[in-house]
Amino acid sequence: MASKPIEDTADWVGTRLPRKEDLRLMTGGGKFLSDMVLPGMLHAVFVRSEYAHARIKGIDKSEAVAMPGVVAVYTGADIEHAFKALDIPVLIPNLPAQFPKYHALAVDKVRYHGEPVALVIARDKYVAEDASELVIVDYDELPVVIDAEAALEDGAPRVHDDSKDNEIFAMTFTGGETPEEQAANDVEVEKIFAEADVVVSERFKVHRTGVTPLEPRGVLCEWNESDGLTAYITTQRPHIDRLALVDVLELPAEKVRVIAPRDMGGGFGIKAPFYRENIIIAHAAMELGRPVCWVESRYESLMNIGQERDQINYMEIAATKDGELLALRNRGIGNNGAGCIGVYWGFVMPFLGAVEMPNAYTWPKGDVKLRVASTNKTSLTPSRAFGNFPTRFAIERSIDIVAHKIGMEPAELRRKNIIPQLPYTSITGEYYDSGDFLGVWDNLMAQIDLEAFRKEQAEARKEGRYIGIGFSCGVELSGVASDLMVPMENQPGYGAASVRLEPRGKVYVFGGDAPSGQGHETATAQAVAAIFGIDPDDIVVTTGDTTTTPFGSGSIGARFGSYYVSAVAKACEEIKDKITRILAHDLQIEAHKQHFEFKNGDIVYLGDPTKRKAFKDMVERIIMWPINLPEGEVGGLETTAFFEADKPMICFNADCCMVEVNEESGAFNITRWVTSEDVGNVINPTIVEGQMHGALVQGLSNTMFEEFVYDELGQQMSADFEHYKLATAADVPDFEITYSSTPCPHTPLGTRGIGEGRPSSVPGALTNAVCDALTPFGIEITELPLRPNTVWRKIQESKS
Amino acid sequence: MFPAKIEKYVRPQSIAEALAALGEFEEGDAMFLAGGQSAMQAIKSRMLRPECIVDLQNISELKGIDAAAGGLRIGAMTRYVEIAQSAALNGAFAALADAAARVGDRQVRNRGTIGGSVCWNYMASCMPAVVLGTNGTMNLTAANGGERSIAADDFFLGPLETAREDTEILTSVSWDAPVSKTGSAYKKWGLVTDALPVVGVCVRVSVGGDGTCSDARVSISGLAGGGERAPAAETALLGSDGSTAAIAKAMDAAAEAADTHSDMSADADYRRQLIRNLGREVAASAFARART
Repeated sequence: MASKPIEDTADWVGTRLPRKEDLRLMTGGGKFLSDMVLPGMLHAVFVRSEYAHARIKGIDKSEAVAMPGVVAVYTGADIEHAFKALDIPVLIPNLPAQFPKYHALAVDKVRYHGEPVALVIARDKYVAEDASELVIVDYDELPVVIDAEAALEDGAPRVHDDSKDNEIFAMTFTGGETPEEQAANDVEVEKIFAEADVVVSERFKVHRTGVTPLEPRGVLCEWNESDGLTAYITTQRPHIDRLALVDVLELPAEKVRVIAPRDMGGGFGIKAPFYRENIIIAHAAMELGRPVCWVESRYESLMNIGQERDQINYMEIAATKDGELLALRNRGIGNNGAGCIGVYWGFVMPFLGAVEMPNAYTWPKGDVKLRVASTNKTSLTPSRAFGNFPTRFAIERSIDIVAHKIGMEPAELRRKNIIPQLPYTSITGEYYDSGDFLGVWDNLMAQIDLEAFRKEQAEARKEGRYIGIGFSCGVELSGVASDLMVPMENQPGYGAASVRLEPRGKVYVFGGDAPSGQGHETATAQAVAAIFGIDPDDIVVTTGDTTTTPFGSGSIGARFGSYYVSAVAKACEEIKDKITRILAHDLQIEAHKQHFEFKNGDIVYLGDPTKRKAFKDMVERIIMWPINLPEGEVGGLETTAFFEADKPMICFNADCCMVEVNEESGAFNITRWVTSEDVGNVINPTIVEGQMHGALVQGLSNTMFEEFVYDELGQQMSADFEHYKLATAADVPDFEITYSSTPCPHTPLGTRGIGEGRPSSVPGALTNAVCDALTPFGIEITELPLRPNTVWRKIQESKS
Repeated sequence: MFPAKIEKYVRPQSIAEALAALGEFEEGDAMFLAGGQSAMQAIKSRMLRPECIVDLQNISELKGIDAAAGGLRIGAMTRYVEIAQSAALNGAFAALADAAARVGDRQVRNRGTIGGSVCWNYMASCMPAVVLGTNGTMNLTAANGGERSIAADDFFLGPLETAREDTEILTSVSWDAPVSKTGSAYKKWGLVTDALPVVGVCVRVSVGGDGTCSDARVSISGLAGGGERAPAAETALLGSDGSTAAIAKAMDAAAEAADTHSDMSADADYRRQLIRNLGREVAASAFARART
C-alpha cells in the first residue's frame, strides 16, 4: 500500500484506501479452505437423495466399503445414536415453531432432492466419488408437496413425520401481544378498509432465488486427544459453530476450536447457518483419527443452499383519494422447504421480512400475518436481503398501484407518506433510531428531473416508444441489536473486539466475526489508524479463530459498520485512556485524554505542543518499562471491548430506475439507475460503494435472471450455471450512487452497518419502471422473475 | 465433481497419430477432446466416462481458416476467437463470425473450437445451426485413412447426435464459393449476455442481378431438436425483393412452422416471437451484406 492519499492521520476514516486484502486476493495469494492440506488428510463425498420425498428402505454400502482407498462409509443408521440430533437449544430461535428433528444424515426418510444420505471417506476425492456411486440406496417414493399453499391444505403430504402439520411457523406481527389485542386490532383495520376511498388488493409472488458465492461450503476437521477438535469451516459465525459442535457431539467445550479461514470467497448469508455436514465430518475425523475434508461441489451447492425468497403475499392497502396511506394488511405465505438448517430453520427469514414489511412509510394501522409451510424443497437459507426481498417487492409495487388508482405521481405519493421524523416505531414494532428519510428522498429527486422525464415520456409515446421511471426506498437493519437477535437467533447482538498493542507500536485487532471478502481488514485498520494517529499498515487484523478472538455472533446483518467497528473503536479509546494517563504522569502535567491529540505518529499535548511523544515510544515505554507509573497503574496495552447500542439501528436508501421497454419483444433496457444512501459516516467510500454495486447487481440478477426451479416431483432443475443464470457485468447498468448521510448518533464513529438488506429495493424500482413505461397498456406486474417473456405476454393480454 | 478414472491421455501431433491412438481402445472407450468447453463438463459430471482422451490441440493440420478462391475451409480445431476475428469471414460467411463472437465468454472463445461444437451438437448451441444455415460440409477421415464429406443437412441428426462415427475424426468444415452475391448473418437471444441460445436465427441469402433473392437458407438454433432449417421462411424469401415486408412475412412463416417448446428460459409462444424478431433483424443484415 504505497499510496498515501492523506497527510493527516485523522483523515484515514473517509478515505479511499486500496484494500489491504486485494494484493493477495488478486495475485492468487489468498488462502482458502481448499488450499489447506493436513498430513494424512482424507476426503469426503456425500451421497445425496435422488428423490424429494421417499422412505429409505435400506442402504447397501458393502461395495463402496470394499473399494480400495475407501476408509469409511457412514449412513444415517450408523450415526443416529452416535451423537445428538440437531434440534439443540443453541441452534433454536426463541420463536414458537414446530422444529423438526433431523440428523446429520437422513434417517428413515429423505425430505428433499439433495439431502445428505451417506458419506464416503477415502484417500482422495476421485476414489471418494467413485465409491459414492456404489452406495445403493433403496427408496420407497412418497407423495411430494412443493407448493406452499398446497402444503398448508388439509391432507397434504406431511414433510416432517414429527410435526402435526406442514405449518412450521405462523405469527401475527401487529396489534399487540395477546390474541385478544390482535383480534381487536384486526377489526379496527377491517373498519378502515371498509371505509377507505381506495383499496388495493393484489397477490404478489416472488420466486425462489438467492445467493451463489464464488466459494461454496467446506469443512476440514482434525482431532487429537490433547488438543481436541479443530474444525476449519467456511463460516460467517465460527463462535456459534463451535457451540453447536460442542453440544451435538457432547464434547468438553474447551476441546473444540473453530477457525474460519482468513480468506473466504463470499458468504452473503449462506455461511451463517450451522450445517449438518459440519457434524458428520467432525465425527468422522474423531472416529478415524485422521483429518477429513469436505469441499462442496457447485452442483451440491446449487441444490442445497442459497435458496431464499419463494413467498406469496396477499397484500392490501387502504388509502385516501389524496394519497394518504391508512392501513396495511398482509397475509404472507412462505415456502420453507424442509427447514433442516440450524439457527434459521428456513422461516426466520420470512419472519424478519414480515417485521420489516412496513418499510419507510407511516401506517396508522396494520394487520400483518405470516404462515410458513414446510415443503419438499431444500430449506430456505439466509441470502443477502434476508427475508425482505418478497415483502419489499410487494409493498413497493403496491404503493405504485395505489398511485395509479388515484392518478397521483408515485414519487409524490411516496414523499407524502415517508416517515418525516425519527425515531419511529413501525406497526410491526421495529424501531427506527435515526436518519433523515426525507433528506435522502429529496437528494434522490434532486439527481433526476422528474418533470422533464414525464414530458420526454409523453413525446416518446407519440413515437411508439415506451420509457418509464420507477422508485423504491428501503429501511435496512444496521446490525442486529440483542433485543432482536436473542428472540430471532438465540444469540447476542453486541459487537466484540480485542485490541493488542505490541512493544514497537504496532496494533493487533482480533474479531470473532468472520468476513468473506467485504474488506474488514482495511476498514478496521483505517478506523484504528485514525484513532491512534498511525498508519493502516501498522495494523494487523485477525478474524475467525475462536481460541484467539472474543465471542461474536458472526459477520451477519451489516454488523461491521454498526457493532463490530464500534467495539474496535471502544477498545482503542480505552487504550488511549491508559496511554494518556501515563503520559500526563510522565510529563508531570494535569491532563486527560481530551487534552491530547494522536496525530501523524505522535501524541501531542494540546495545551503545549512542545510536550509530545512518539506513539511507538510511548507504547514501548508502557509495555516494556512499566516503572515510575502513576499509582495503581500496571504495564501492558491490551483490552477487549463489547459494544451494544442503546437502541436498534437502521440505515436507509432510495432508488430510481429508468427503462425503455420494447413493445414488440417485451425486452426492457435499464437506461439509468440512481441511488441515494444514508450510510452514516463512511470509513472507506470504495468499500461502501462496492457494497452498493454488489447489492444492486444481486438485486437485478435475482429479479431478472436467477431462479431455482423444481419440477412437480420436486426434482431440482437448476443445479448448474447453464440453468441458474447469473447477471454478468454486461447485463447491468452503471449505477449513480449518491449520499445524503447523517452520522449515526449511537455509534462512536457515527458509522452505520450497510449493504445487507440493500438488494431488496431493486425489484420494486425496476418493476415499477417497467409498469410505468407500459401505463398505456394498464399493466401491473405482481410476480417475479421479471423477464421479457413475461412482459411480452402481459402486453399481448392487454392488447387482446 | 471429479471424473471417473481416465486410463490414458495422449496429445498426438498429426491426424494419423490421433486416429491410431483412438484405435488402441475399444470403439467408444476413447474420445477426442477438442477445446473441451463442453466435453470437460460432461466428463466431470460423469455423463461421459472415457478410458482414453485423445487431445487434438497440438495438431496443426486441423487448424486455420482458408478462404482461397471464394470458398472457405475452417480446420476443426480452429478456435472461436480466430473465427470471430477473421477478416475472411464477410459476406456469405459473416454468420460464422457473428456466432463465434458471442459464444460463452472470452475464456470459452479462446479455447472452444468449431469442430468440437459441431461434433457435440448440443441442443442449445450456435455453431451447428450456423453451419446448417450456411450450408457447410463436414469433412471426416476414418481410421483407415478413408475420407468422406457430409453436408450439414445430413450431418446433424438431433441433440448430441451426428453422422460422425466414433472412429472418425472431423478434419474441417468447408463451404463452396457462392455463385452470386451472398450474405449471411446470425443472432441469438438468451437471458443473459452471450448465454446459450434460447433461440437463434441464421439467414443466408443470395441476390441475383435484378436484386431479388435467388437462394435462401434459414436455420433456427435452440429448438428442442437442436438446430433446424426453416423451409417455410426459405420459400417465402426466395424470389422476394428482400424488403421489410417480405422479410416479415418470411419470418412469420418461420415462427408459425417452428416446433417450439416451453421451458424455464421461455415459453413456446415467446420462442416464436423471438424467431420473428431475431429473424427480421438477421435477414435484413444478410440482405445488406449480400448487396455490398
